[in-house]
Amino acid sequence: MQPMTAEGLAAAIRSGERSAVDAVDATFARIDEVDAAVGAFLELWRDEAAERAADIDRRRDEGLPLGPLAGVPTALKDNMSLAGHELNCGSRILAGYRAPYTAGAVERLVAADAVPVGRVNMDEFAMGSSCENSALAATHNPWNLAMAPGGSSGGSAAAVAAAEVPLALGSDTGGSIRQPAAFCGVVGVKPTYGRVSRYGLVAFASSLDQIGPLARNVRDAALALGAIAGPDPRDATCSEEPACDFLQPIEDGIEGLKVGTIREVRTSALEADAARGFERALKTLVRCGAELVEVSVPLIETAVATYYVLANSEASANLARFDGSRYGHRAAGARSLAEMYTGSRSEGFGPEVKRRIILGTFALSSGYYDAYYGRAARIAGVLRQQFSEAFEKADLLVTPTSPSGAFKLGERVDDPLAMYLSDVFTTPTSLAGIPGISVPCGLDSRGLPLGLQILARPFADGTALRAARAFERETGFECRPEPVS
Amino acid sequence: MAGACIGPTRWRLGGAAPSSYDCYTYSEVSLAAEEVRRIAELARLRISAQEEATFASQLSEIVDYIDQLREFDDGAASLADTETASDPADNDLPRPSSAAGGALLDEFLDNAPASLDRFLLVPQVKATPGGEE
Repeated sequence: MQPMTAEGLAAAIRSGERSAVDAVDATFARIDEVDAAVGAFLELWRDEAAERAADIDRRRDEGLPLGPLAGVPTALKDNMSLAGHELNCGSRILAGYRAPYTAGAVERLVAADAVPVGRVNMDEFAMGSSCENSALAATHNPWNLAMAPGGSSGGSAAAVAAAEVPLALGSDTGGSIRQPAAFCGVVGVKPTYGRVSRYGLVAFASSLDQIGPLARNVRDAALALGAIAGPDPRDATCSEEPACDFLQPIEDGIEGLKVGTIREVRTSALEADAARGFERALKTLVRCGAELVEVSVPLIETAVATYYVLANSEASANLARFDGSRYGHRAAGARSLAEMYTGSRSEGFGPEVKRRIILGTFALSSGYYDAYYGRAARIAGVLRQQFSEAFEKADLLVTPTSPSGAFKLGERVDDPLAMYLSDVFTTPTSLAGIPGISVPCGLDSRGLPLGLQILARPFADGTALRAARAFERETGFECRPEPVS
Repeated sequence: MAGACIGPTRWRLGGAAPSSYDCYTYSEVSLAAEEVRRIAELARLRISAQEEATFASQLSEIVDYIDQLREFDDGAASLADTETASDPADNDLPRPSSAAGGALLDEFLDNAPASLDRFLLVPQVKATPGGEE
C-alpha cells in the first residue's frame, strides 16, 4: 500500500475521516519500525506532536477551520529553530543548544497546522553531500542501506523516502535539498532565493541558503512551499512578494513551453546510467508537449569552483560566532578569551567544517582576497547574467540533478573534491538565485533513483512545479525503496 | 627551491607557469602545511600535525581546482551584481529585536556556557599585570 500523501492526509483530517492523533501515532510507529536501519532522526518530539495533533482534532470537532497541512507529520532539518527544542546543526559545537525562538518558515508550517515530529540528520553545518559529515548519526539511503542518502539534507530525504513522514523541510545552499532528493527518489524544491524566510535557520552561506520542502510527490511539495513561502521582515533578504497557491495551476501541463537543455552540460561527463536517464527524461518532456531548445550558459562549468569560494568565504565569517562565549560548546580550562575561542572551535567543529573555514579564511585573507573572493564574485555575476539570457530563449531549463545516482557510504569521505563535484549541476542554480526542483526520473541499473533538475526564472517557482508535476504524471514514478518497503 | 617561493605558489597556483613548478618539491608540502597552520590560526582553529598534513594536501587540490577560474575572469563586474528588487534598508525603522522583546533574555542566558545575573561570563580578556601570565 502506498503511504498517504500530505495532501490526502490533510484532507482526511479536515473532513474527520481520520484523526490527527491517529496520523501522528502511525508516523511514530513507522519511525520505530524503520529508523533504526535508516537513521534519519536525531530526536523525536512525541509528546509535543501528540498535543499538537490533539489540538487539531479538538479544533476540527469545534468546527474551526484547519490549515492546508492539517495534521501532516513533518520532519525538520537539524538547522531550523523550533522554540524550546534542541538544535545541533549536525555538530558537537551546538550540543545542548536550545532554540529560544521559532524559525519563520517553521512558524508558517505550524500555522498551516503541520505537526513537527522531530529533527533529522544533516552534514555538519550543511557542509557535505552525503550526510557523512554529521557528528551525530549515520543516515542510510532507504533504497540501499549501503548507499549515501545524499546531503546535506540527507535525513530529510531519507525520512520521506522511507515513508516515515510525508513531508520534511530541508535547506539548500549548493544542492543540499535537490541532490539528496535525487538520491532518495523524492521531490525536492530549492525555491527562488528570498522566496522563503531564513529567519531562524542556522546560517551557512547567507547569500545562497534557502529553505524548501522534500516530499513524495510534486503536489505535496507545492502544497508545502505555498505554506512556508512569503515575506518576513525579520529576514532582510526575504522577498516582499506575497505567498501564493502553487497547487492551483499545477495540473495545467507544459504544452508549448520551451524547455532548454544547456549546451555545456555534456552527457559525456555523466555516468552512463545518468546520461541514459537524462536522455529518457528529455523524451518524456517532449511527450508532455514541451518544445526542446538548446541554450548556452558558458560559465556553468565554473560553478563548483565559484561556489566553493563564495560559500566557504561566507561560512568562515558566519561561523565566527561559534566561539564558546554565548552558546554551544566551551573548552574547559581556558585561561584567556583567545584560548577559549580556539579551544572551543577546535574541539567543537569536525574536519570538513574546519577545512571549509580554512578555505574561506584563505580566500578572504589579505593578498588573496581579489584573486579568490573578488574573482568568484565577478564570475557569479556574469553567470547570473548568462542564466537570464538563457531564460530569454527558454521558459525552463533542465539538467540531471547529479552526475550519478547515490554513491556508496564511505566512498568519497577522504576525497573532498570528488564529493564537491557531485554538486556540479546544483551549484549554478544556487549562484543564480533561481528556483530548482529535483523530480525522480527513474532508476539506474543498480536500482537506485535518478533525479531530473528543472530550473525556472526567479520567482517562477510555480512554473517549475507545474513542469515537475507534468513530468511526474508522465513517468508514474513511485517511491518504493525495497529494504524498508 | 621551495624556500624561494612566495605567496600563492605555495598553494600550487598557476599550474602552467614553470616558476610554480619550481616549488613542486619535497619541501612544498611542509610549506603548504605551514600556510594551513597560519590560516587556521587566523580562523582561531588549532589543528594537529596530522590534520595539518591532510588539510594541506586536500586544500592544495581544491585550490588548484578553484584556480581554473583565472581564465574566466576578465575583471569586469556584471550588471547583474547591481540588480536588486527592493532595498530593505528603505524601511529601516527601529523595532524591537523580537516580538517578545527582552523577554527572551532568560532563554538566551540558559544557552550560555557560563553567566552571572544578566551577564555572560568569559575568561579574562587581558592578563592581569603581575598575574600568572
